[in-house]
Amino acid sequence: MKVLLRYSSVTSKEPHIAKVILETKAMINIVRANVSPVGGETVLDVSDDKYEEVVELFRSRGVDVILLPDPILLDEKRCFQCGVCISACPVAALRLLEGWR
Amino acid sequence: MVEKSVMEINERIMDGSVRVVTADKMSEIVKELGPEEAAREVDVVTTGTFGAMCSSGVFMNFGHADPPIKMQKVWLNNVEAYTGVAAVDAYIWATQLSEDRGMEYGGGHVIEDLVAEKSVELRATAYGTDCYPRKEIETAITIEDLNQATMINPRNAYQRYRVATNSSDRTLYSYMGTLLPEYRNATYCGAGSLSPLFNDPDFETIGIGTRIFLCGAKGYVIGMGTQHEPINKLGTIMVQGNLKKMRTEFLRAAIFQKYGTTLYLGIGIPIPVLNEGIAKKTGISDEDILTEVLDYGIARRSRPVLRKVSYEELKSGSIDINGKEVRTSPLSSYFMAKKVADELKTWIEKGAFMITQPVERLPRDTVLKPMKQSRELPLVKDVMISEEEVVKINEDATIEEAAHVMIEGQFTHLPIISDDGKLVGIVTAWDISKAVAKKYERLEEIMTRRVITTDSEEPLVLVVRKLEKYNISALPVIDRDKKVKGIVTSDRISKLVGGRRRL
Repeated sequence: MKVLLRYSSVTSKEPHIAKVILETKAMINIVRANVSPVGGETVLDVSDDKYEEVVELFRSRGVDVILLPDPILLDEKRCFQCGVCISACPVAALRLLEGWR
Repeated sequence: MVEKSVMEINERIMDGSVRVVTADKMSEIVKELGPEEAAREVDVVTTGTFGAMCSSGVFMNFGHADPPIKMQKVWLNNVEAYTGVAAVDAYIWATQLSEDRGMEYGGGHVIEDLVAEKSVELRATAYGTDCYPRKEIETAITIEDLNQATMINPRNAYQRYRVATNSSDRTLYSYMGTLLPEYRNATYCGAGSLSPLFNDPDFETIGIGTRIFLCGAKGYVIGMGTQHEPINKLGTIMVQGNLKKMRTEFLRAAIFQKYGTTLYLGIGIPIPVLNEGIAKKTGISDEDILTEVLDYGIARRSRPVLRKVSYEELKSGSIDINGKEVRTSPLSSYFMAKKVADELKTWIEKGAFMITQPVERLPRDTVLKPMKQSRELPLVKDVMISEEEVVKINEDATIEEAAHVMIEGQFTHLPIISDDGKLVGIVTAWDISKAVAKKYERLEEIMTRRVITTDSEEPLVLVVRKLEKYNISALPVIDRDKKVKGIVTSDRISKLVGGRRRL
């Protein structure tokens, strides 16, 4: 299961992932990471058996945890090419094509 | 000098010689030829916008039931519509939420479903009268079954809109979309140089009675929109059109995550190029249209203006805010706005759409006043436990020491400060019990570092929202230097409400 962690300028200074791994012994894979002194985000893949425990522990440490149970889907039938998803995407995966599509 | 009349342009529409261009093309033409020559060459400029227009809704008449009913409350697919219009009339708003599905479905979806000719569940209740004895009804209807379905939108097609960004350390869910913390994105709205009202900023040709493109059908401007503020280039229009003629391509329900439902509409307005002055105005380009970037991290009516920015910069995909490159993206669809302007152009060229002379001009001097609030708003400083009374504890203290301080002072929340007096965390009685259960010793192992705080001038209504949102019961009050000035607790607020009933 994937989770997105979001750090503030305060929480980004702590070695949260290391501590959580030491405490829970969960198998965690860091999929993506972008952390600076002012905050940041990481996406983790957490083994299913420890998933709830890991989420709970991150939250108790003051880290924002956003569960990513499903991959984000673009419904072509509903999309009218506004583009709001682009800047809201934390990993900059989306962009406008030629002709504002 | 070029002077044309609406009638002359309509004659050209009739004989097929009319010259129509979309507003984005007009910018190029005016740049190349100058306004006078452009006014000679072009008869009509078509504009377009496709954005979230929350202030939209539909009046409908259901016809009479047998036995008849005077509907007091009405729901369509479990979304409440407004009654009190008469016996079998109702008005459904785009932003009204479903009673069973919440933010997943709203009035905007009902309107889209009607246009898509889907069946909609109608339910109504009444108190019953001698002439309208029936007290309830349930039936399934489609748009065909309605006598009238007239879209009447009190505030549409905002001339421009302010850009939203977020300085706070938390993600905000707003009517401007999801705003990531610490200026990590900015969202904007409006079609820029295609924007209908920006191509006629002095409302010379757009007025009461102007025929427009509304969601794929013909519609009309019926007056100034609510909050119409042309002197600040924030004009709006009130419009109406026949829902039965509209197309879902140009009318789409949408959900703003954790905010609510809305309706995206396509509106296009033709601007007759009557003289070179109008030609010059329709020649406006994205670089000429400025708007302000507002910080939505401040939940007050007057949000701080961070800078001015042009639509050209916004459309480039990123802007500079306080030296930081911030990604921008639009909420409104430029792609669809262009489609609206193109379709309107085709209608006029085919002779299917005539230009109108407004019956009356819209006001050019109205301003948007804030709400008059006749009751004073209580602030944090009115109820907080003061700096002298509040007990703090140093971050080096042990859990045992913290427990003692709590018991002595009868506090359940202790702000934790560093040696220089700055707030670094908070510990609650609950944290202490957890520490006992898990055998922690040091305060820093159990304290919450990401403290939700307030300042002494913050209105209590915002504090209550924070307490609810984060499911907590106290907030340290800090100043600009993060020094603890007091603490505000839900107990204190309850006492205020109980004692004075003023919140």
